[in-house]
Amino acid sequence: MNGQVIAGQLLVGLINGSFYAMMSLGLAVIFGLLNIANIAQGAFYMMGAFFSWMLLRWGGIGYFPALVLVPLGVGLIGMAIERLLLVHVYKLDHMYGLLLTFGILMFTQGLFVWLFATAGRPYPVPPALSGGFDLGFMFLPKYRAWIILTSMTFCLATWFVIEKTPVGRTLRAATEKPMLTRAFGVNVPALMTFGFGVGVALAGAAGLLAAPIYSVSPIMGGDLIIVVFAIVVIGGMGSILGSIVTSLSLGLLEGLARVVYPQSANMVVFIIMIAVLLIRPAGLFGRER
Amino acid sequence: MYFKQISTAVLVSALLAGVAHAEIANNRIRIGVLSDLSGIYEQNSGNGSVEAVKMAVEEFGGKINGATVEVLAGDHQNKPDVGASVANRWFDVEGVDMVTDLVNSAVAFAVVDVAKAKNKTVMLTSAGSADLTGKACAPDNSVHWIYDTYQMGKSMGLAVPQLGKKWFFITADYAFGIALEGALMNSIKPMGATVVGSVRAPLGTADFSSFVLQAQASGADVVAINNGGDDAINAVKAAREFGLQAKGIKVVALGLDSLPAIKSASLDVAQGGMYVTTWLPDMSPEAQAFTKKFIERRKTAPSTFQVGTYSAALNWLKAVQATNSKDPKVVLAWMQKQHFKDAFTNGGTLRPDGRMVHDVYLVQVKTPAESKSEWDMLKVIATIPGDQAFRPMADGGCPALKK
Repeated sequence: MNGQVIAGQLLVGLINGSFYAMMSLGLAVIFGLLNIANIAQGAFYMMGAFFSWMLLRWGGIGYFPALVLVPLGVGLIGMAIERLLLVHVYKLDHMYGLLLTFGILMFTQGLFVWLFATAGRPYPVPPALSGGFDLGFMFLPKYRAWIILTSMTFCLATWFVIEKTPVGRTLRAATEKPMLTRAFGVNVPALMTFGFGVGVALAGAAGLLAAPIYSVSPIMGGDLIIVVFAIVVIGGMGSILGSIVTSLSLGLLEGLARVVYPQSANMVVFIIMIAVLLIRPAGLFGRER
Repeated sequence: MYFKQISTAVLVSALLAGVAHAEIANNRIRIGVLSDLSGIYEQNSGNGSVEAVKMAVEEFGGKINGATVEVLAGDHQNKPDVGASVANRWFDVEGVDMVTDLVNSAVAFAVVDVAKAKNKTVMLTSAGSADLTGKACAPDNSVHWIYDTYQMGKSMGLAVPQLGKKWFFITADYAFGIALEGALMNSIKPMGATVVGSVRAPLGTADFSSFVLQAQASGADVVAINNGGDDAINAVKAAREFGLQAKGIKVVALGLDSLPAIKSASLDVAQGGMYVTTWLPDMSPEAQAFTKKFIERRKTAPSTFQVGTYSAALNWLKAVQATNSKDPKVVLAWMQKQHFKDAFTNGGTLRPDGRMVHDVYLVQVKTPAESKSEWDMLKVIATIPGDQAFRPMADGGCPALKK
């Protein structure tokens, strides 16, 4: 084992961590605001990748416009689903929201398999981002560097909006004391819909970022969501900063695991999840409710 | 006397009529295509294999010796227990006579066991483990039609002089990948090659970048990717992205063996990749005609597995027609006497251990500039005769043949 290998794997870990961060951030936002563990996040991620592919294939619209259009489109669909379906389970136990969103994931995945079959579809790396840098210890494709940059931008922006702006303040107020916030003349249900839209838009954006690296396929979201869920549990459900920090550190840890014992890389997240649940059930950054 | 003669004649003809009816039970022949209809192997096998079998059935007009031929499709979800339970139901309840495709060796082993117990036929096409005609053989019930891991490894071994001496393996962490890695190792070592490192990647790995980085750091000349389906595409993509080919490292992706897979990776990504295939779309007029017909129906060229599954079903149906029987022993005995000539093979033969032996080809993916049409993607580097590529029957150690 040498330093080169470790440095390379850590960088790959950081890239994976950036993906996890965008996905888990969306989950944390939705859980924090709506109290729903949104398993369907995997479906919105897959939709994001497919919308990008459709825009390019059918509309000739490239990567950079898609960076705006895809999160917007996915967010709108998410808001429609929230209005039509999720709205009915807010008052019930967590389990109902979980089951409903699980159903939405299964349904959407099935729908896309039916429409597009499971074969992966290629999405080219945009020309401006192809090629790479030779770092000496490894060859870093430009596109991977771009992923780190973009996902960090998305994450910080989301964190900033929710924690530091008046809109975010209102959103948080609506979560903590919905009745009281209503009394101040705020349209709480509309805010919740908006919050859900933002959360799934993040997943859609992650799907777009993933499209050039992985094949675009209907089953791409199902596996990812399990890991991302574990990360959110470790970070503390609903903690925004927690989910970002946990995502990056677990990405790095997975990278290290790949050097030491590759077969363990898939398990390491879950082992940590079990340990965290035993020692700190609310998660590393979570507060006991 | 006269009366006796007539009654004997009546009796004999009645018996004969009875026999003719009894031979093809229920006047119905059922083929079950058991495949991955929703997972990573769907593209290479899956619904395309189902269609290919239907195309074989249509060549007989849907009827054989008066019996209707029906095709059933089942999804084994890459789980041996699911595969075995579908096979059990098909054989016991739905009267299926032959099961084919069986992509994923782990599932194939389970289903062959079921077929052996119930005395039905299995035409293995998309499954790859060479043990299926080796220590796990079932020569009275199963035939291995397209390829196996020994043959893939052996053929690559013959290419060591062209590729390089230092090899790194990225291997799928289950029966097929491990068997392929073993076969490859056994065949490249006698040619003077060494293995400088290997990693096992879980089935369904989406991101191969960390494995590709390890391969690069090992200083290998050749990176062999021992997996299949979408995994193979993702691995080749990562290799290209991290600049392996640009640094002069040869990338061998054995599981890329499929035109749709290369298409979905795009020539840009897959160009220069080498692999061993058992079928070429322009190898014969029959192959060209089949490819054209398949594209009309499925809007994509067939994969090697799908053409092979067509061929296996076609020849099994021919055997049923000729012997007027569905009994595995009778049907397979007839097939062992044939030289198969169709869209998949020019003169393949079936050995007593169940191995169908035919020529294989070492190919390289064309560059976008070399490709003249949508499905023109491969150039042949070498043709390897079947008897050199496949494991000799004596070395397979099939226990059932020793008796």
